[in-house]
Amino acid sequence: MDTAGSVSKGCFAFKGKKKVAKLENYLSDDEFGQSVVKRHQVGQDMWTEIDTQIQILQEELNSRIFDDLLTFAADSCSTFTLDNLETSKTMVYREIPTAALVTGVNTPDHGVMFATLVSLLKERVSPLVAILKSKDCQNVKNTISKTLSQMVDNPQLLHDEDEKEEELTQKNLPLTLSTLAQWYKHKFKSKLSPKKRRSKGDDLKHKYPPAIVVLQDFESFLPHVIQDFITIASSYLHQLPIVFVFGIATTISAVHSLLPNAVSSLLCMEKFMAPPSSEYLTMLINQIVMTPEYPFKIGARVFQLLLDIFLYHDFSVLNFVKGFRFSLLDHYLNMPLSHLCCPLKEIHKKVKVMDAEEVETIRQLPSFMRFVEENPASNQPKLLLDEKFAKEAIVDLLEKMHTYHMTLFPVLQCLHKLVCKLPKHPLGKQQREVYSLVLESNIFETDAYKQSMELLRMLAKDELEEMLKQSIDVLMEKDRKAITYLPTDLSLFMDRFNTLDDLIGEEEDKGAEDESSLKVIPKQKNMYELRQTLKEMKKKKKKLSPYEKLRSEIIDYFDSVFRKYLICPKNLPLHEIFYYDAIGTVKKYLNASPRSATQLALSNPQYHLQSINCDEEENLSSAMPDICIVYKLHLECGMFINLYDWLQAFITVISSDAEFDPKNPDQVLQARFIRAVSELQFLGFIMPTKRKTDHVVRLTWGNC
Amino acid sequence: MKARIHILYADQLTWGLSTVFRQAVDIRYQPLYIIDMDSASSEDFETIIDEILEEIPCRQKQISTLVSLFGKRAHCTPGAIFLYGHASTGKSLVVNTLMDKLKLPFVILNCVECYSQRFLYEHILNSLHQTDLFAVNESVSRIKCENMNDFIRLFKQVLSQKGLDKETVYIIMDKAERMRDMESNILPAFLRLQELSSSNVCVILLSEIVWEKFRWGTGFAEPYVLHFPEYKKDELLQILSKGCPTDFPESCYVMYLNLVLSVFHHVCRDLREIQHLVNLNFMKFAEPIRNGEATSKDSKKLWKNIEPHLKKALPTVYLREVSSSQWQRYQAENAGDTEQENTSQNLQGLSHRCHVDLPYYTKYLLIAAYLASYNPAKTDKRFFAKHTGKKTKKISQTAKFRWEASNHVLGPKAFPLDRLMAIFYSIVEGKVAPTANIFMQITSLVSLHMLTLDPRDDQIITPKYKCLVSLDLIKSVARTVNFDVVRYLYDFV
Repeated sequence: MDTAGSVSKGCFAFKGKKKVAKLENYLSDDEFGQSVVKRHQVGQDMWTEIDTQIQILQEELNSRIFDDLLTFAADSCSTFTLDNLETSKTMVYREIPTAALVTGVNTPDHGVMFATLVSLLKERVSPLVAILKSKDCQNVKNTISKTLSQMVDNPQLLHDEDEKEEELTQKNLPLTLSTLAQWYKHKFKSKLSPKKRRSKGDDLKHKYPPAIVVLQDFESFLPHVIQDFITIASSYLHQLPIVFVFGIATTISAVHSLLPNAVSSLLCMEKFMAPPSSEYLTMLINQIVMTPEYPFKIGARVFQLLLDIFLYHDFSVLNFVKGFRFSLLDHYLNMPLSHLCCPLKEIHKKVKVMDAEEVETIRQLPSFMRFVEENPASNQPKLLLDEKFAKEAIVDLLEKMHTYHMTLFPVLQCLHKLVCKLPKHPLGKQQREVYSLVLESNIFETDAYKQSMELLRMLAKDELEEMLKQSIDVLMEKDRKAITYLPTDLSLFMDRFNTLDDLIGEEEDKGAEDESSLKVIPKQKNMYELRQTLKEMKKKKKKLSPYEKLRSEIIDYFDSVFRKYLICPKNLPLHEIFYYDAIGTVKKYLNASPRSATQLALSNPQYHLQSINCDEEENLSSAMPDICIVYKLHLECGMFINLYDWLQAFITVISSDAEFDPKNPDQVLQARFIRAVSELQFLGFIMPTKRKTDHVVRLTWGNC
Repeated sequence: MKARIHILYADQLTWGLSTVFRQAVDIRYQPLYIIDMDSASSEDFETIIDEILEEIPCRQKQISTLVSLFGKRAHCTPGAIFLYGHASTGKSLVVNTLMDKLKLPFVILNCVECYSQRFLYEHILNSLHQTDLFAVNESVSRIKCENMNDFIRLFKQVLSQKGLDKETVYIIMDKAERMRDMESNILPAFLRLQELSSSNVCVILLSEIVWEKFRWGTGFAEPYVLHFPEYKKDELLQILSKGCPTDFPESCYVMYLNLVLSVFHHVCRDLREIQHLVNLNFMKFAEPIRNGEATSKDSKKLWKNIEPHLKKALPTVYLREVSSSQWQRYQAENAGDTEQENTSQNLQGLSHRCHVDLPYYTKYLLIAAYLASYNPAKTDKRFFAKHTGKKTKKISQTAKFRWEASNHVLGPKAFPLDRLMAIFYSIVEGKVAPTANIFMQITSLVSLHMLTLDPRDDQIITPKYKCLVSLDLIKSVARTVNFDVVRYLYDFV
């Protein structure tokens, strides 16, 4: 038989080979493309390194949050057994163990968080974990089917079982928890009895693994669905050890707004708080941004922008990391010299292979120019002309930059320790605030710094001692070779503190003498003379106690250290290679305002279309695109816009006065007008209405 | 003997005149057990009944009524029995225990679970048939059933297969009020199941609402209605005292229960809830006795010890925010602290639930949404436009007169997006670009259920929102950004 006798035509999908986009496909073959390839590798390496560090941090943090939760999940059903159904049935008041995990409102981060939670639960507690999201659970049936399919299709269970388990698909079995309960009974009761005989000890704990149901976005669930689901689950509690985990973004009272008492009394809730995301961010900034390990740094403005997005907009650490990554990639893409932004040990090699052109680019850098000018006159021509000499200088400068980073952060931390507890926090409470000040300008020139130094000079003894101790600790941390002399100096001060008590004894005697001398005010003849003497005494500088002397000495010492190390990176030569500060690009991509862009394009078409020659002054001209004219005309209207008036105005603008004939308008113009209007409607500025004939409603006002 | 059965059966036939019969049952609620020829088994029967009565106190009347309705295994029972009463008044407990102890053939079904009628039928049939879904031999297949007609047919089949046609089979339907939402033929058909299947079956419906609320449509056979009244205080005491730990003097435990009930009884009569509270606080109560600081007779001292803890638990009754183990840990942690610290921490722990941390602009968005929801749109000009000081006083007086129409009584009103943004821009400090991030926050507030999208209007062109948060929450949010929200609310000016 001819099998190909079908006459119907069809569309057939052929799965081609999966194409992986390669770097080369994006880049042109010209010189720019070649140089990007070179930088791309460096950037990629840097990012991989940073990314692993972020992953490690995240794991650390998560494990801290989840440890309690995991123990809870493991313990809550430890008494469960299927062996003697009689006893379990007699327990009338049964509650479903429930962990309420308050996660905070940073919704973008929840996905990652729950993915980790689920994988941890699977790894450590039980293979039976189902994660439910509100968008999949619009009714009870879907909810149960999701739970069932996730628990039953678990590959971990299947691989050690016979193949007949696999036939348990959604098609031939009713989607109910009773199915699951039977499956569970079949699975664990029969299977584990021989095992129990073999090894009684360690297997007993996991004999009946709990069935964990994680509800990721608890607030968004439909109330009746979740109520029914919980009620059903509670009725199977004697057959199936169910544990709930509710992910709650706002407050625990969300549970009560969703569940009536009849349902919530079926639960036995335990509350777990995830730490606030700002804590995580602080950790991240301390370990990723404020560290000498990664030479790539973000500049003051970009840093501030990323922080603002976090604090003012979304509280999402994930977005912060994304922003950081974007900056890194953009830096390596657009900064021609960024391949020099590499670990310290590779600098020599990299500079060696630089060609003349690249050296020339470095010479063009403003910060290098400044450096040249600062050099003695004899060196200047060498720097600018002699390639070998220039390369040496560049290596030197790059290395200096690395040393600068090595010293900057410990000293910064030390300053933060000193100022973080001052009243009113002139330099901010967080270390990142101090850092952003350093990035912006020389911190020791700011008023806030001066103010805090003044405040430091008024500290009590025990406070200062405490701070000194803390800063020594900070400086001794890890292996910070660059500034070994600092802690030793500081500990010298510490020693002096200890001997201070003896000095104070002496001083008190002296003080007493002084006071006695003060008391002896010679009897004056008149008021005027008395006043004069008093004034003089006031002028006479009050003698400092030894503590005060020591204090001012310490503060002066700190001040000098800060002045030495906390230089603004912008003042250093070649800072462009390490610091990324293209705020415009970052803003455009990460904090876009589509509305303003549309409005700008409509009211200022020459911004995008250079071809139009119209004056900035002139508001309306026939040279503009139709939609711009229509848009500008509609701005002058109120809530309702009369289409006919609008058309008239449009025609007036387009045609010159002579041609204008109000009685017989040009059809082409009408068509152009209608097209422009429908474009505006498409953009969402106007909407047709039934409330007034031949009118449209304006939808936008002002800037919002 | 036979004659007696006939009499009972005749009674059932006159079910329509059930009021008379019901009274009759009420009068003879004292055990009316039909004497069997086999006296030994009847003795057994009576001891079982006594056991049940022992186990479930304060429900003698209901149990004996049910037992007399059930009769012996082969006796014909009423076609449908309807048990109602508040939550945790022992309905399911009584029925389940009876079924278990008397070893009757029965199927339990939770109507909440039945999202389709198919599930309902198949569950009953398969449970009766005892189908094992994962049985090793695969010849046993699951019974499938699509409609009521098939159900009746298959039901009879299963009964005869399993040899159950000689005795009464019970079908217990929990949360029966849900049956009203199912297809309209289901409830009448189940009420008449005995008649339709002409087999000895009894459908027991458990519900929290009265039978009158079930009546709609036609074809109803009136079930026998039995009420489970709420437990009285002394009954609660009697039931709870059964939970006395074995190593604890019972008189003292009863005293403890008395204390708990004296604090909680006026707010909560739910047995389950009180049981929870009793378990929660018992460790604390027993502490001085275990430590040897007080004896079980020292009632005043024990009261002094436990009273503050009970008072603390009072505002969170019904909430179930702490499990008993967590509560105990928490009490133990606080034990070392001084009393004052103790209370302050406690308050923090429990009132902490109201606190939400939001990003800065989101806070302002939420405040703006609240203002837009509770202020009439025409007053916006007065609150947010500059230089309109004069008008304020006049309107504030009228506002006071019209306090009944207060917007806070009427609830939040929907507002369009542009009004929200206009208010937002007028209250927020500094210049804020209308970035995509800001608009994303509105959606995020919707997903947190702080705002809701009004479904009536077009959701794309003119979305309208409502603010759902309470005044207290908005006050606390406004406090964190130093914004005096009350000054801008029309109801409070």
